[in-house]
Amino acid sequence: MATATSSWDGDGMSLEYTVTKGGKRTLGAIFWAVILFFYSPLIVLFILSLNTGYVPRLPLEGLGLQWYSAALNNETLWSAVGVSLRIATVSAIIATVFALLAAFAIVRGKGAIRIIAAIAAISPLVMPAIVIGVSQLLFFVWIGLPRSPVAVMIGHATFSLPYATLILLPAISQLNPRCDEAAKDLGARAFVRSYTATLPPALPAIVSAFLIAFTLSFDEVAIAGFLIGSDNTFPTYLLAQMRLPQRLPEAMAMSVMAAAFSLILFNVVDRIQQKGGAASHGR
Amino acid sequence: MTARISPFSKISPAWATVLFSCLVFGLPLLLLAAYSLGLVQILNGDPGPSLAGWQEFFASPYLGLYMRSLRVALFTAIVCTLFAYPVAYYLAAQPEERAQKLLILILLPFVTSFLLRVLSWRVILSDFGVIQSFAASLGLWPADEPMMALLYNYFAVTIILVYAWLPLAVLPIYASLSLTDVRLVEAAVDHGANRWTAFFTVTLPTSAPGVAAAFILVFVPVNGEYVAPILVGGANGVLFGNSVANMFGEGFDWSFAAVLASFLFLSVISLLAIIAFALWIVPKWRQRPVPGMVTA
Repeated sequence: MATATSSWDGDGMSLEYTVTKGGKRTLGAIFWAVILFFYSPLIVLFILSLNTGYVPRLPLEGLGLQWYSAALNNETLWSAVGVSLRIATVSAIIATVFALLAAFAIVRGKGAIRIIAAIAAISPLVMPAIVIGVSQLLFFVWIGLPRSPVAVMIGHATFSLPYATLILLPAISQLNPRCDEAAKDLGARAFVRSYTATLPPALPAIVSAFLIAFTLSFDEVAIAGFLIGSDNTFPTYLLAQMRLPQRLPEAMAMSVMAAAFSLILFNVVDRIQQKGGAASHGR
Repeated sequence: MTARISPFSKISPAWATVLFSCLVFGLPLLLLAAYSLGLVQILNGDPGPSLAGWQEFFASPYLGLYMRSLRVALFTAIVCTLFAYPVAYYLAAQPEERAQKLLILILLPFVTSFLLRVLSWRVILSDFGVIQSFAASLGLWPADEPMMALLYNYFAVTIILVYAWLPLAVLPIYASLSLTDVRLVEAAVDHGANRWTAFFTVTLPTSAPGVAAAFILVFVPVNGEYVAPILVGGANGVLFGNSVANMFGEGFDWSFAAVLASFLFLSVISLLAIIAFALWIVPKWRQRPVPGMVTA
């Protein structure tokens, strides 16, 4: 590139043309170093989870899936997973419904409700989970709701609400309001309209919001730790196991399997998002 | 066209969300603050209205622990933001399709369980862990001597928190950078600015909200963190959140724990107010006319 100005004649949209070749190389080096930093501990953990010995260290005593089969045959673990799946499903439904109502108001509402809905839906994002957990624990004890999976469901719905809203907002703002108007002109009532004209194009985003809320809840331990009581969610059980050296290898196998599960869900979200994006571009 | 385009009836259904949020988020926070002042009694034997809990807190070692935790949180948030910026810039400088693929590469570790990511470092740093056994196999360290220095301190906690939260910091910075109007950068360069000047006068200010969001997204959860120190902090790496968690659990001193939690809540609110104020005041200050500047 001869001069600075000649290099600008690109697509004019990305920052691609604001950096020199050397600059790009430096940025690339930082990027890939960060990727290495992200992935190497996970790879190390995965390899050590295949170790046949009790102590996770190198060199491995042998390769085998014994800790995985131990984890799969652990009934306490499966009951904790069951509790977590129930909590994640219910809390994700609650979070997605309230997020959807808020997102419509933020995008299409008039007057104060826009700001009020945004504050109500996003503010849990700027509160540490421990404060949410502790304040809800006090609140639930005060109103007589014992520590239970139900309490965690409410806690997780609170915690996931901002994330679900942030995922829905861009999709809702790209919806074409004329679909609604057309349906209205054709005489559809509000309730029917929302099912036939408004919501279907937003469905990919709604499913993504649900799955992200589900994943967040399935992984959440800080709030659950305060609200679960004598039961165990999968993460509170896992945390307890990780603290015992003799249970550590099995806990590693459990967490690798949970990570695989989360990755599958994320992959689904990603595919849905891409399809949704393609559909909205094609309109 | 003034037709109402909302698909719903006159009263916005979003009030349901507002009600939900007030009930399960706002009200519990108010209750927490009231309980810390003894204005509400929840358990048998809770003290009456008094400032004694707060006075005790400001005279206790917990204030010092809070300051140490605050340093860890600020340091973690700053380091995450500093590393996230070039990563996000690299993404923003890629063709769209490649950027999307690389973004997923960044986000994947964040999707795996938080406990898994903490555990992976515990396994690496622990006594007789990966680093120690690797060093031992190279003859750099005695095989039977634990490498105590690596785990159970603030260093381990900070590394792990940076590791756990860095992916999240990339998102908002990338979002704001991809909104940057490249024509403005172009204009700056056409008027004789070099690339760095163009960056500092155009790109960095436009991405400031993204930087602030990244900082907040890391600072807030880290400021109340108590799970990672359980696994890798040990006695020398406890954070303020651990005291709150212990007092609500084994310690069972709820009224004093409420003071600590309320203090955490107030400190987060104050920091957010400072950042919001900075985001509001700095652009105003920047818009002052510069001597010699030619205005069109």
